[in-house]
Amino acid sequence: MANLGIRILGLNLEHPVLNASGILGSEPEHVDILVKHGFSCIVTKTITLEPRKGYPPPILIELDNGGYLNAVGLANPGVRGICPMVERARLLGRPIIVSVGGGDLREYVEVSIKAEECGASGVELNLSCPNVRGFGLELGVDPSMVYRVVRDVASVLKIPVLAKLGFSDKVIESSGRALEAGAAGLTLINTIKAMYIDVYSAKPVLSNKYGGLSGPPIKPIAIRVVYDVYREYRALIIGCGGVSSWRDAAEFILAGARAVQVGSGFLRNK
Amino acid sequence: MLIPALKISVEKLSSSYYRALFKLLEPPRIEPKPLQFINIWIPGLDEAPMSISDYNAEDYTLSIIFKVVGDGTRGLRDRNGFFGVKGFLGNGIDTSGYDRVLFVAGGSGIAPLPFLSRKCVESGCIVDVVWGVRRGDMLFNIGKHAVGLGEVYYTTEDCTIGYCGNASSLVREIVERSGFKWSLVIGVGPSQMLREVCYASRGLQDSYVSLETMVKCGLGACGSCLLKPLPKLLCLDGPVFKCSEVYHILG
Repeated sequence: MANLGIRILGLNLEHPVLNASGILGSEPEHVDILVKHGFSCIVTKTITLEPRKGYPPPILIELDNGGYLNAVGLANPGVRGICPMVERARLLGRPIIVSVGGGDLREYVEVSIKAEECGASGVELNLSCPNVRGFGLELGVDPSMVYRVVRDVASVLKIPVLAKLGFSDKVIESSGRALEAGAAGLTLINTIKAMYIDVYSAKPVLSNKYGGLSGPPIKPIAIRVVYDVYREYRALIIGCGGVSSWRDAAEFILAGARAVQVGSGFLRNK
Repeated sequence: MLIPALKISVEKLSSSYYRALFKLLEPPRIEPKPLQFINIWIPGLDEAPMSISDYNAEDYTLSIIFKVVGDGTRGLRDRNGFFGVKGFLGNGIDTSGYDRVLFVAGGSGIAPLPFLSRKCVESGCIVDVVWGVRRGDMLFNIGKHAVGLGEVYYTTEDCTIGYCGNASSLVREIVERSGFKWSLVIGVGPSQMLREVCYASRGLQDSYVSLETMVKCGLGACGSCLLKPLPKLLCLDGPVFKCSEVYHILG
């Protein structure tokens, strides 16, 4: 059988398929489920310092174009939720990367330190959540803010730091600034801010009105971003956005990614 | 996919329960199975998980039986016009191959019975029902809404109608009195009742319970419906589970 093993971020992974942050990943039992589905490395839901309840339903809808729109509102157990998940992943023999969110620089640093203390294999800074004001999207489109967040975290951590960026006109520049600030790699791309209005009731469906678009509709955009960023920096890139088959994964790898993350594809293939 | 649904009617069934009928304006991709559920979107207000109470595949009408417990369910009762149906969610149950089914319901657990018995009639089985509620005024005649029922027992904790006590103690008595005659047992209701139903049907391969928990996305992404400490999600792995899978977390 072909060997699909890769070595990234100092980790030997059985194959290049990770889950995308936001698919389960906020409880130790979620880690069990993700491992059972075969992901080679687990990525947690974005963790903030304090627990967050997130938005009321509807928080996720499946669109008739094959995509999904979600606004979960960064629901997560806070830093106290990190150690139990890391411990569970360790028992199951899988590396785990903690996705880190923050409303300010200090929060990114504190959550990242906690992840390292718990024994996580790395952190992925969510610099691009499209749904929560003050968390992410505004940061990710500002290359100098990306630089500051990554620098502040990478300078105090021994474990590798990934920067997860979304689609914007400045994604190439932001990617460069993240690498310059000490990111070991980039996760490209996050969901894209979007909206769905039900024409019968004439109301937006998500309780947050806006959501992040994921799945097959964003794949060509993600491929383009990975291709451009790789061409510019030859950096470690984990591709994300609409991976639902081996061909999608191969396409990301051809574009320059070393590994891929699966989010919506996990829902579709249940 | 969100299927647009037009509300056709709402009817008060008893002091506690309402039945709302919707017409789906687009054909669903697949037919539902008994005990599957939907997330019903009340535009601009809420989205709530609801058992499919009945479904007619010929005219795409779907009904739910519910209790008013908050803004969302109040909207289901009082609003007219368009709603949205996300579904059909969960695993449901296939009635083919069974001859006699025992359905034990506590409170709103009665909701999925009409569709279950409809499917049972199609596949050639009869459903015996034990339905327990706290007070007699919560009951309604379930035979009016469900076809193909066998024996129907009502139990009330205030002892005003039917058997005095709860559903699971009546089940125990029936089993003691006339033996175990069912090839499939399904319990829907409070956790303690489910535990007792599982205990009463121990030894039977096909005894199932339908669980409840907080469902948010309904599609296996958010993980809100985790059945801690089991690594199982209600929205994908449930709501129906074999007693043997979940007995230790019941009660």
